[in-house]
Amino acid sequence: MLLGTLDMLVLRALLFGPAHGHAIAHVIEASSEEILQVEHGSLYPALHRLEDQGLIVSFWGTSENNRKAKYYRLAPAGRKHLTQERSRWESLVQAVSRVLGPSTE
Amino acid sequence: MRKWSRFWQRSRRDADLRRELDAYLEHEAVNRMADGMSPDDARLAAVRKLGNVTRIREDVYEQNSILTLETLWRDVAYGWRLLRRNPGFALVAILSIALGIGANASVFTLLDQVMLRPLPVDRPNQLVLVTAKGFQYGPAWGDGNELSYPRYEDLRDNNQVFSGMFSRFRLSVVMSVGGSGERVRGELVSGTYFPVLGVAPAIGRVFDPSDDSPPAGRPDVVLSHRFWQQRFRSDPGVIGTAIRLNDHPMTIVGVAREGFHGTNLGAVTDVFVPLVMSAELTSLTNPLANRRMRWVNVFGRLKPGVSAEQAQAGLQPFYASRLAFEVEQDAFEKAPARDKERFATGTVEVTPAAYGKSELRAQLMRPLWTLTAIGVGVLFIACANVANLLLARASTRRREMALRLALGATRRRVVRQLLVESVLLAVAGGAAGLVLATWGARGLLAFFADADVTLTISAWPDSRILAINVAISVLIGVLFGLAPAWQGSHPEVAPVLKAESGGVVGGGYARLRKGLVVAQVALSMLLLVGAALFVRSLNNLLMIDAGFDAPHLLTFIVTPGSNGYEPAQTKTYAKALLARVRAAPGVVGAGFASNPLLTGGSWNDRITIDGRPYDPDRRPLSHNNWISPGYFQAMSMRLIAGRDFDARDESHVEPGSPALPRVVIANEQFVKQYLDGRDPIGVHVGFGANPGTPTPMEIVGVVSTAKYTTLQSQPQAQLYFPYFEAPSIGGLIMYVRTLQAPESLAGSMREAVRQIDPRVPLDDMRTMTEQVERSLVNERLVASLSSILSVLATVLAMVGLYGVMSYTVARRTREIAIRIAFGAVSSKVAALIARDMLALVTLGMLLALPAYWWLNRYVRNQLYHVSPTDVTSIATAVGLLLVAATFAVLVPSRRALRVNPMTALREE
Repeated sequence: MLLGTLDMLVLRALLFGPAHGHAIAHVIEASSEEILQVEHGSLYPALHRLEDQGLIVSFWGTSENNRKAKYYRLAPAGRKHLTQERSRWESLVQAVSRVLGPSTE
Repeated sequence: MRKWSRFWQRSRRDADLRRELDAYLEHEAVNRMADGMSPDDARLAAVRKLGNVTRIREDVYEQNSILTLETLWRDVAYGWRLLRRNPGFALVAILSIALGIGANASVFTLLDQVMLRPLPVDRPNQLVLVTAKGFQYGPAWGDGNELSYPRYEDLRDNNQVFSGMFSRFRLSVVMSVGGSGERVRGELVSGTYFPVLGVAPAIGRVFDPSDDSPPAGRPDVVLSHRFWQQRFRSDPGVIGTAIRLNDHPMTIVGVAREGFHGTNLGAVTDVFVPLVMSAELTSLTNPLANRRMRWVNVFGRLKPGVSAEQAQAGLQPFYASRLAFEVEQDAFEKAPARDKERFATGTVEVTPAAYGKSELRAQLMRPLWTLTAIGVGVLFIACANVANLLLARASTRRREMALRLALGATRRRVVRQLLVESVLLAVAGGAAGLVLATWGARGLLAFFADADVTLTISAWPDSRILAINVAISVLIGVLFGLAPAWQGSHPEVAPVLKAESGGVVGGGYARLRKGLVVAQVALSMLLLVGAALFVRSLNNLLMIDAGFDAPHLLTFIVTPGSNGYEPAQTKTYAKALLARVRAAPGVVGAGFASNPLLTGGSWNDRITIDGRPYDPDRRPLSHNNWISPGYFQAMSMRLIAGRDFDARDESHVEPGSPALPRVVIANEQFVKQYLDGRDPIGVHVGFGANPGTPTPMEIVGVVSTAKYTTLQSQPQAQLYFPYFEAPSIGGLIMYVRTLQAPESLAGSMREAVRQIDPRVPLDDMRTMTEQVERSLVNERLVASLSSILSVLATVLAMVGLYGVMSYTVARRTREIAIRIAFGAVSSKVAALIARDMLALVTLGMLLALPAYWWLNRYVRNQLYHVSPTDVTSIATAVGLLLVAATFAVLVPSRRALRVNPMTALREE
């Protein structure tokens, strides 16, 4: 995983509503159709980092199976950050494609 | 900011994280179980999916902590444990530093307050003192830095360089608040005093320029804050209280703000009085209009952007014009042309006065710097001891260091940990040193019997000194711990871990340690010689023959004039008091004088002597005193020729009249210096230095020479005049001779004064021995302190010597064992040790020589009749050092003598 992409994926995963760590991990795996295999453990340092940067906010809540779980939701700053990162990612992809040239197959 | 809150909460966050991870595991396991796995398998799969829980927790924990702080704290905890396990080492190190820092902090507490703190007023850097330079003409009160009041007014009203000026005069007055009187310290100040200084009132009001005009009703008085607190118990109702100063009615109108004691450090003021009251409160005639009498100190506040030099240059033209004006006045009628010329070319001088004008400061400057230098020497010796101790310990810990390095610690980390240890020691020592410093400072202040000094100077180090102390402690810890730390982090890892031979307990770094000891010995030598010199100098001073019998004299002052007595009444009072005093039991003689002895000053005048040709370059100057009959007997001075004053010498003189006494007694020095072998009896003299001055006073007696201004001064020509022919004197200084202890008469003297008039206070009662000691306070301070500190330094240095000698003996154990095995006698072994010790000590003494040469001239002018190369002092110092060194090596040499060749040679 490129540095920083994990952060972006986490923010994207929270775009549609709050979730707890376990759910976030599975969302990332699922939406990438199992291509991106995240070591679930590396999620937690990333979550902490994002929280310290103020991009997400945490709160304790009750999960589906009635257990206490720590939930995260996107903060306004995080939403903005996501938009910025997304456009940067897209221009990066375009640039790389231009360098590589049109597909010759 | 967030970083810090994360840091403080990291354990809590870790606990949080564990719960979160547990929740994840449960979740994942539940999911898997839903897919049909067994609970155990599901759990296992969940854990595998999550990854290394410990690593996750470590990662997050590290994110939350500030790494350097963590390791630093660990270093401190480790260092603390280490020190507790070696209390002996820690104690010696901490004590050494405590002594070094304590000595310095005590002196610095004083130095700071006396020398380094500007006046607590508004922008003190703008304050300057204005003085007259060159030839003056007329009488002066003070130390020559005064101006006349009219000249002050001239400058005040005609300058472009000052935003304001004020003048002041110090005065002791008797204050009575409804009843009995007490002597208080007063200061006559101009109306501009408080505004220019920027001192606001605490309650009521302070003076303003309107107070420079004669008061309409009762004059106003402002109290100092400290006096208001002590004497009036901070009672706000004091405003408006009527009091009497020198029997003149006045009103208290305000109290100055806290912390302000006047412009003279070491001399507190109790009451401030407007200068316009000078004629009433002082014995000066016409002080406000007399151009020839210099008595006020004049200060100015520079305009912003104007420097003292610019102000001085700016004032010259106007000043010169005033001189030209004054020299044409009547007062100069009889002056010779040469004097007029010299007068007219006088100049004005402007000097910075951010520290005010203080005699105490001038007096203490040199001794305080000397003591500071000594203190620094002691500190260095103490720190060298600590460095030596650290080096010794570093070598015993070589295995530990080698192990840590082998386990992967960086050199920097090891060095840092060793530095933390030494800083811990240093800071602990610094804290202990501060405690010592308060005692030390109090001890220093005890030298000053003057209550004034202890009132304005406190023995408590203030926050600045505390901060400096902490900084210096840390610096010492780092500096003196650096070399040992550096050495300690460079053990040869492999050989040390293999415990190869050559490892001696406390061994290693021999040259560095010996070098330190040599430096310590050199410093101790310097300090010891210095102390010996100061002690001898003080001894010489104490043995000076004062010319009067100090051990048997008691003295005190009364000033009936301050209680409203007219001059004629004062004389009656004086006679009555003298009779009563003489009648008291135990008194064998009494007399009084108008001016005090051994205060550094005197009433002096130019004298014209009948029959002596006028020579403008060698005009006679005499130091004078009005005395009563019986004064010489009380003082045990010898009458050499002629007679003493008696009942004949009491001609009635109108107060304020210019009439002069008809008779005078000269001292031997006067005769020797000015009378060129003539018979002194019958010679006529007069006050004044101009040619043609009348000489109506006849010398009727000659007495032995006694000291007047200071003990150290050369014999001074003096003239004595009969008190009862004086025009007007407000007070007298009584001298009472007794064969018992003079203090024992104190009670009966108070009683005698009280019986004549209870309103008249008795002041400044002390024995003449105390008076002598007071005049030598500087020398006593330096002699005592340098002795104590040099002994301290030597003890510390000897501790260092002991350490190094122990190490040397241990290192040479094999050699000694072999010698003993071959039949060496114990004296030979002892000689071996002695040679080592002597080498170190001699090297140290030699090292001290060039430093001594250099310090010579600095010390020279503080010594009285002792040369800096005084052989006795140097020999004493050398002797003391050798004796101390011998003691220091006693234990190591006994150890050497007891070496058992069998066991020593078997150990490797």
